[in-house]
Amino acid sequence: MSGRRFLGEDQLFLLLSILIGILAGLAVVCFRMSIDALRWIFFGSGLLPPRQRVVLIPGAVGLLVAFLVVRFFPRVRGSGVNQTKAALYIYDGYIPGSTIVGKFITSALAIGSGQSLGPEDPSLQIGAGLASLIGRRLKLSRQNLRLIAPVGAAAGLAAAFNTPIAAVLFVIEEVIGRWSAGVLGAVVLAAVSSVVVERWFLGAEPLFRTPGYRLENLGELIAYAILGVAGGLAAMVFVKAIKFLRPWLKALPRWTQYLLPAIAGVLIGLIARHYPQVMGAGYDYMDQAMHDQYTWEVLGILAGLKILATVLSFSSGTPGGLFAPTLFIGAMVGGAVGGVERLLFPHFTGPLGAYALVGMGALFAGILRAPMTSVFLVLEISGNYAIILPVIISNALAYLISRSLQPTPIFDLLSRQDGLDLPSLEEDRERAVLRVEDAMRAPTAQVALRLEALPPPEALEGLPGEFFLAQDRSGYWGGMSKVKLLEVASDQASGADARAQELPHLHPDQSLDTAMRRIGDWPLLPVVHRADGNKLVGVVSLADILETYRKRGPALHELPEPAD
Amino acid sequence: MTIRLKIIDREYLLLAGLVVVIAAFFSLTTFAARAYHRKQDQFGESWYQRGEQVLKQSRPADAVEDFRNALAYSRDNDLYRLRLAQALMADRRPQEARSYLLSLWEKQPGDGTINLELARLAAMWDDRRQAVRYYHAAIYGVWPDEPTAHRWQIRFELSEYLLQRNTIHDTKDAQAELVALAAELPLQDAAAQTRLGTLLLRAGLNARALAAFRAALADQPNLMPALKGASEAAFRVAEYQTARHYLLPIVAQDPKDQSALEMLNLCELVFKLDPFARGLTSREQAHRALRDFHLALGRAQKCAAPVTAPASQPAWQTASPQDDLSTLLAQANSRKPRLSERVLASDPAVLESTMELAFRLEKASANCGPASLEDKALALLAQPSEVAR
Repeated sequence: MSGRRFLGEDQLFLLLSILIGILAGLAVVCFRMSIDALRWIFFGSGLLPPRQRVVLIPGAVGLLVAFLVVRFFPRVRGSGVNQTKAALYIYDGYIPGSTIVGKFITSALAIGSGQSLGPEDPSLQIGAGLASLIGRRLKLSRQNLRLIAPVGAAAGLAAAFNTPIAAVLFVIEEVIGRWSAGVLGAVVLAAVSSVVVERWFLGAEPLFRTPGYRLENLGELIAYAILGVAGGLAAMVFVKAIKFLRPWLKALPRWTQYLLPAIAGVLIGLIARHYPQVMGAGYDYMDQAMHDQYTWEVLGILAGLKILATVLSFSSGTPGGLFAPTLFIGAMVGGAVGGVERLLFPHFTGPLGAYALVGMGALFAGILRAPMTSVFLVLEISGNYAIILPVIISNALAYLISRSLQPTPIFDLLSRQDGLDLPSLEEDRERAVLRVEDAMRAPTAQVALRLEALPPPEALEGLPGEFFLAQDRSGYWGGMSKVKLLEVASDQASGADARAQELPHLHPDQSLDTAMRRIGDWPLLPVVHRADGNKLVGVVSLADILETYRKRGPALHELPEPAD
Repeated sequence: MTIRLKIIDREYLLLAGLVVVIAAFFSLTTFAARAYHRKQDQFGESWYQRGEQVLKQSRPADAVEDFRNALAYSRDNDLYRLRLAQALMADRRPQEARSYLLSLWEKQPGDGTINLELARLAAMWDDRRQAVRYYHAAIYGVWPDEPTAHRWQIRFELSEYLLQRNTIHDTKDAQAELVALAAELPLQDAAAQTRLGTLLLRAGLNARALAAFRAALADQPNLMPALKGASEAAFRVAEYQTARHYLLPIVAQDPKDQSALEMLNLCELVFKLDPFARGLTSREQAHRALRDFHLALGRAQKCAAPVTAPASQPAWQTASPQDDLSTLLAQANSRKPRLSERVLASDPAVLESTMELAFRLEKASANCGPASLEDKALALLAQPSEVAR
């Protein structure tokens, strides 16, 4: 829409965020109901599927899903997070309408038929797609059209998990990568309205109801730290397995794409004949793990098998998300660590459910590399805030270990495997910020002079450069050309009252990016103390800034890992 | 102006269109969600009913699976959760049951049933502190139907748990629970009064036990467990007439009941041997006292050496240091020649001191092998009544 609007674009954007939130919430509710309905059709109403169907159904439905994906919806492969990022950074917020329909149908079929994938990332993409569609219809500006997709993504994710805070954080942390009042307001409004809709239809209870937790023995924190280490290692195994298998399968002839989801389905079915827990999102089994229903050996086996099943499903190109499997693996690893701890230290009183819950956060931090989101996700899905200390410890360790063993986060890895050069928000966060103090020089008498005590004109003539920093009587540091300085120096009587030209000031801790923006055409800028604006601590020129960027920019080994 | 109006119109139109789409989608979702929830409820209920059925058939493992399925369709359903926990307990998987119970407890800390199940778990693991805590929470908790009856039952269960632990501290706590229960239980409930009496007997509150059994018998005079309990309680409080009164119908109904027969015989002997029984002439008193003295002396003489009482023996049964058997024998032997029915009949003080000596001899000989029925009766006479103690 061009010209003047009845509503300003910002107000319209906020209003749309609410409407998008409602729409995304409705879509996610329908999506979740569809998955359940398909599961009932395929496997009946019991948690344990009939043995004769567990191999047949995932295989047969895998063929159908592959056909739909290859023929009609090629953009729906994968989780949906990268597709949303691509819409933001590459396609100006454009997500085709067919992607929404395709993602809905193929993901519901895949998850309902037992593929080891989750509904959250597809919900995120469905939300983003709906937002993009509405934004296009309303002809939003390019800037807002780009941002509307992440707003829808937050709404979709919030409704899928029933976790508004975690959804907002995830989208900020992983998709948009920056905080600003406008974006945050829109994302929050969308997330809240979608969660309201989801709760209206599916209930307000948290995803899991865990037994109460109280940290009675500080020694237990060591056990949670060990869980963090185990979580980091499990995350590394998971990501490495996808890193290896996915490009290998993608490199196979095109016709194999019709078969891969079916083969993955059959293999998962074979696993499910003995361990049906690995099928689908697995929330019921996570709940059971949190209620002490498995021994630590079984939990360990389930964690391993779920990694295998999810790697197979995901690498085969079956549409579906990684969030739920990540939580499943985390719950099982956490439960197993808790079980071993109970065996070794029976006086520790922490319930196994607490370990499973903390494990979820650890794997989320380790695999998806969204540390803040992982903390709030655990709190929101359990409604248990007493567990925050173990969650923070465990998540931090899992995150650090996973980062050191597998430097490229999974979403960056996937985007590079797909040939997309999306910005890595984790790498951006981690990249050292170059500051003014890195580029500034000491304020010597060659460049910084006091007007009250100028050297004789002959000496000034001999100074290199045509522009100097000059401090006037009030103590202000401004700029002055050599010509002007010579004038002041030759007329000492009036010179003392001369005023230096106003210059933008910098502080040592400010980024070089700020310095670049401020320096404009000035040859030099003063760097002054934050507590005393008259105290000159350095000078900086454009040449200094560029030289610093040249010398201290990212080394080659710090540049993003190339796609496999 | 026209252009601006057109823009506004278009914006309005698109937003209105979006709202209409959302309204339509909302209606559609409402319709679908109703059908979805109906189906979920249907599945949940059917699995729940199946679980109840197999649980009644004593197949807890199958019931666990059924209740789990039911719970999958209604994660917030506390009834399904509770039944799952109970099925797990019935399937001897207490650790798994505990977790569900704790999550239920978090939500309803005052619920009687949940507290009771947690108490039973704690009792099973012999975690006394938690067991007592949950039992008390169950007693004072919320019971939707028949709260009073539930509270009585739980107090009974708690008392039984404490008595089974068999320590002085636990017995004292059990006594307190039983005394509280005695004040609440209706006198007309013969079964409950009998159960109370039995526990009071185990707790050592014999007089209160007798009162409970009496209440039960007042309601159902021929209730055999109450008769047996009453006879034992009466016997313990040295009310041998009362004990005999309750023993006679027991023996009449089951003449082969050896324990009742022995108790009855002992009662009869106590009546025969007691020199202080009401209505006796002084001559008869002297006759009985002399017989008792010789009975005690005979048993003491059979004991070759002084015997140490076992540590577990109650204090009142243990002879004091001055009751050293040899000393007592010496005293008895020196008194024996001077004793006759005439002397005893003429001097009640001598009779009392002679009986005192006889009782002490009997006590000191308590561990000298199996006692005859007469010796047992004499020992009973020597035993101070509970009321006196």
